[in-house]
Amino acid sequence: MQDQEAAKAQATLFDAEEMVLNMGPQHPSTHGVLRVILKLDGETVTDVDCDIGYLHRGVEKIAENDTYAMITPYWDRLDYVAAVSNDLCYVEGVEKLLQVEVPKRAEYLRVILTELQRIASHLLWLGTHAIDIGAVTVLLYCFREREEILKIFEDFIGARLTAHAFRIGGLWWDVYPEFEQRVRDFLRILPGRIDEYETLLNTNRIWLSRTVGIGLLPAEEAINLSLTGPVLRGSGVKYDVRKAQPYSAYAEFDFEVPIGENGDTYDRYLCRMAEMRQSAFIIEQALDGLPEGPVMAKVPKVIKPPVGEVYHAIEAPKGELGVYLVSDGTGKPYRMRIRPPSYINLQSLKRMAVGHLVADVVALIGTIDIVLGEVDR
Amino acid sequence: MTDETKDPAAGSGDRKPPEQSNAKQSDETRGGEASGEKLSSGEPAPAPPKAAPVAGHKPPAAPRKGPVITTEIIEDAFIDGLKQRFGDAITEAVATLGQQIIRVKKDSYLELCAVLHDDPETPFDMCTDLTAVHWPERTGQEFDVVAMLYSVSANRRLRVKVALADGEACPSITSIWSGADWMEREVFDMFGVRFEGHPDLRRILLPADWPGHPLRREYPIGYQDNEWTDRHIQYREIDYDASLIDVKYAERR
Repeated sequence: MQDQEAAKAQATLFDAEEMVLNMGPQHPSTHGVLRVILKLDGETVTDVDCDIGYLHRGVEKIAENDTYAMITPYWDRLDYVAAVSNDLCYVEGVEKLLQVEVPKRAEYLRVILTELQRIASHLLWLGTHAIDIGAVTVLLYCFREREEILKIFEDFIGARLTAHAFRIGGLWWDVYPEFEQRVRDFLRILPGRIDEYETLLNTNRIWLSRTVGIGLLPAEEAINLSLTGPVLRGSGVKYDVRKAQPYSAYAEFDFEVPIGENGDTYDRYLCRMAEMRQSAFIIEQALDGLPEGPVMAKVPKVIKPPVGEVYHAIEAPKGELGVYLVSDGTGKPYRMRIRPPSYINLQSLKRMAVGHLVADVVALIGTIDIVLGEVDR
Repeated sequence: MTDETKDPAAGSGDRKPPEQSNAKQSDETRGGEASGEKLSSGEPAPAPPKAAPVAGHKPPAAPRKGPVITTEIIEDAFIDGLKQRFGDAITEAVATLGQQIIRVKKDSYLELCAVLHDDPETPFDMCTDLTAVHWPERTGQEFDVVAMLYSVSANRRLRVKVALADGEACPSITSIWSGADWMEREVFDMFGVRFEGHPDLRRILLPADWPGHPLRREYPIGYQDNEWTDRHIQYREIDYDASLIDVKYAERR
């Protein structure tokens, strides 16, 4: 009798009923205005719903009313921590449609800048991901190196964050004389610094218990969820647009595509760390083989691509960034679709978070590496 | 209407008054021989009588002289196999800039996708992207739903298009590729195309009660102030000293 009563009291106290928890839209770990509605059974997540769109500015609609050249700066503001990569995607898409041949020097410089941007983006990811999990030191270390890259950008492009680096047909200017030396100086210090981060994290007990086995994604499921970038490669799928369908000058460089084994948060972390090393390797090769010559192709002043359509994809730091352009022969695109890697990768949050604890949701948002400017467009 | 009323004022009797006046203005500013050339070439040859343009309707853009970029796919075993299997349902199979596009009838769309996904040699196991294009002038086929498929193992891309009438629902492919979930929701949000069989078809980027679908061609740009903002955003008049602002503005000038 008493046992029954105790059990009843227990049931009312620790109710099996679900609780709904709102995370965000302004939450320090959501990397922007992301609202995650969690359904909880105790501490365990049973359902996830993402509420996005707080930063929606209608870039695709704006593009229908702007000329091709005018649209480029909007791309800087999509994934605002990797503006250079975004530019590359759009600019190359239009060049493909125009069938313009870009000078070799411009292509090499594009590769150098894009890979620097990838390192910068991964450094920011590492710092914020670590701080979400509780390792504060790493953030300060990462920002130290990221600052070097931003300074190189600032002296070349004039902007640190929304760097409008490329123009349709090449680059606006050639790089400044000290550019090569400064990039080489940076590359000299980078590997040691990456070692430093790895010393801080790789065998850190808290880091391991927060990342190993969290957010497991088998390869097949990751493909089915349309995941791309390090999130897919962490699951052991060797898909990198730079290798699979080389664009720009990537076919001429030698590099590896690091993949994970288990598909958990720790593997994705290792993938990104290895990717930074590969990026540095690519930049080195590009600097060694940097050809002389012009940096701008002959492009008509008024850009009017022929009637047709094109899909162009690049490997942005977050995954496959694509543009689908439909041209009706006028100076404005009939339709411009952005394939945002963050948006599509964010879908997997539900799949990954269910069954984990609330605290792990924070780690999972970090591991997907989203930027809300790109999710909401 | 306005064109015709302005026409006599322009004088030369051409059927493009805005351009003519623009040319004149620029010529005046530039002066010199250019104006003489332009006027002399414009005046003696009267514009040939063209077909009257439909009101408010641009004539289709003339195809540019550049290289033809779209060609029929020939001698592709995979595409031929699909054509054989689906017959008339595949209405178009073209390649443009090295990218393959097939257009399928709506009824066979889902079946085709399932076949592509389970193909033994080139399994299109990833739906990279799904979007739509609005063609309001194509009566009865106003929307193109475009799915970009990718085969990881065969490293091959394929674009599948399906044409829909306005208001017609498109079969959802979320049962085949779960990644298409948010992409279809976005198409619904932006174009108003419904997806049959989608598990959770809600708006995704815009608020649930937003009026209209922004990526339709007729949706105006700069439509920030509408019924939705009237309902949800409260404006408040702020008392301020207007003279202060005027002074500042005057100083800056």
